[in-house]
Amino acid sequence: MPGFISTGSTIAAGIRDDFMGTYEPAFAGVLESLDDAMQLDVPFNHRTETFGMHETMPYPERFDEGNESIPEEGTGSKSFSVTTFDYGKRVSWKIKDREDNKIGDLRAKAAMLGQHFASLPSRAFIELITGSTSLLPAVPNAPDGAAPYSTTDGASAARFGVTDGNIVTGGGVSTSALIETDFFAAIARMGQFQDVKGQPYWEPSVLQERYTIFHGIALLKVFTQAFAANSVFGYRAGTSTTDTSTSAGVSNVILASGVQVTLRATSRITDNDWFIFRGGSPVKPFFKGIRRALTMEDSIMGGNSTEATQTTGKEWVQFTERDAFGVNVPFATVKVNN
Amino acid sequence: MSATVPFERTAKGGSAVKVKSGLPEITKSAKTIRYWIGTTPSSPIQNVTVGGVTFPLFRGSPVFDQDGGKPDRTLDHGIYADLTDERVELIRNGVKIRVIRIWGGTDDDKFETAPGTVKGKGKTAQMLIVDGPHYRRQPNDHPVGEFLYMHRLDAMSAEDGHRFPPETMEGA
Repeated sequence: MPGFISTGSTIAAGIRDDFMGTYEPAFAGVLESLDDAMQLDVPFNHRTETFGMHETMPYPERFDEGNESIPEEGTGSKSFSVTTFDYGKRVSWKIKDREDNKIGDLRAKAAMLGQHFASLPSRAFIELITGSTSLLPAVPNAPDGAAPYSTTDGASAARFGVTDGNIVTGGGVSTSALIETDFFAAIARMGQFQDVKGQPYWEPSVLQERYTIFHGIALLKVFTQAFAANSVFGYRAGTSTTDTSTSAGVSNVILASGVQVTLRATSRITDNDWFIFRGGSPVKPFFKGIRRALTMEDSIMGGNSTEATQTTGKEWVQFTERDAFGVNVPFATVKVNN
Repeated sequence: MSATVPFERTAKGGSAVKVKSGLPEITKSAKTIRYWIGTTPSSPIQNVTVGGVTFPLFRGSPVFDQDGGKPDRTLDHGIYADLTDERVELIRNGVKIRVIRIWGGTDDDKFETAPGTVKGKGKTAQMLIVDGPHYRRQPNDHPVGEFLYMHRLDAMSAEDGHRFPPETMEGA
């Protein structure tokens, strides 16, 4: 019975509602978890917005007064467009089912679907970082013409002036030692990013920053070991990165470094790739634009009913929202590919 | 004012310190070859990263039409990547152990062939690693190589370059 709320299990006399909320997922903290990765609610005034940016201004250089004039240098600019899409859902029920329902108010229950719109940013975010498409007809490229994570830019030059761009080839996720090695490789890579004038994009404070890591929930234990355990397995660096079970535990270099890491485990990431975001970056790699905020409409007999409701006995509530999801220049993120 | 000592005089009778550079030989493995790589429009995952390299559906920035569906200009398929033999081997090994699990959708829900118009509507896809402890094969698992292509540019004919989607990696 597509589209309808089935009430077959909720109309028996004396039925109890103690576990009514069983199927309601919790969305508290969803938006906070994206803090370092996605800028939320950028206002959109048109169906498609075009954003422009100047590339890095030139840096000063020495010149010999009297022999040379002051050196002159220009710089480029970029623009990219982002289109809004419609997101919505309607649920319907029969009037008699609402009248006979014994557990709560069916209308109020139906209206809870509005809460699920809170999942949109996190679902879109995962699609943007994993490259899958469902909410978006296509994952947009970054303003440099390449995918959000890419070794090269759209012109096939090394992205951000560094070999392999913002992808680190990981050593695997079987041990905390491998993750530790890849973590430092990833933040070091980020520290090597260059602006279009060949200067370091980030100030030399990489290790004093905080990072957020998104990884698959199946890897929870090994990531907890890597980032939270006081001591980790030792390994013979230079010969193997495999845990040596006979060696004594060594102090956790990540903890010792003082760098702050927040782990975000999600079941939406199903492979061994993980994604690191630099905290507090002035420019977040991804953004959500909003053209129209969440809007609810309903058709209820005796209230605000449509003709269809009056003739078919079918009531409904619907929510719609118009959003855009885009990619900015991904200076603040690196993917570890395993 | 002290007198300037000629350089030739200070060097006379001296012996130069010489060092043999420890630079390793340039090996064949450091040589890169340019490849054309990408995902096919039928891939439910648009950008796939294997061996540290992303295979994208397209490069450039799509501008969608006012109905929000299709891009208003043709985009370039895939991307050019300069890869070493080692990296190619890494990609081969990565492709072998990855599958895309696809749910939902129907045969009528074929993805369109124009780049930038991938239709994931009705379909859900996940990338899985087959040599992990949690993997159990399902009928709806597709080798990722079915959706990836990788062609050496120097070995491609002009005809190959115009054929799209090109031959995929599966079966290599």
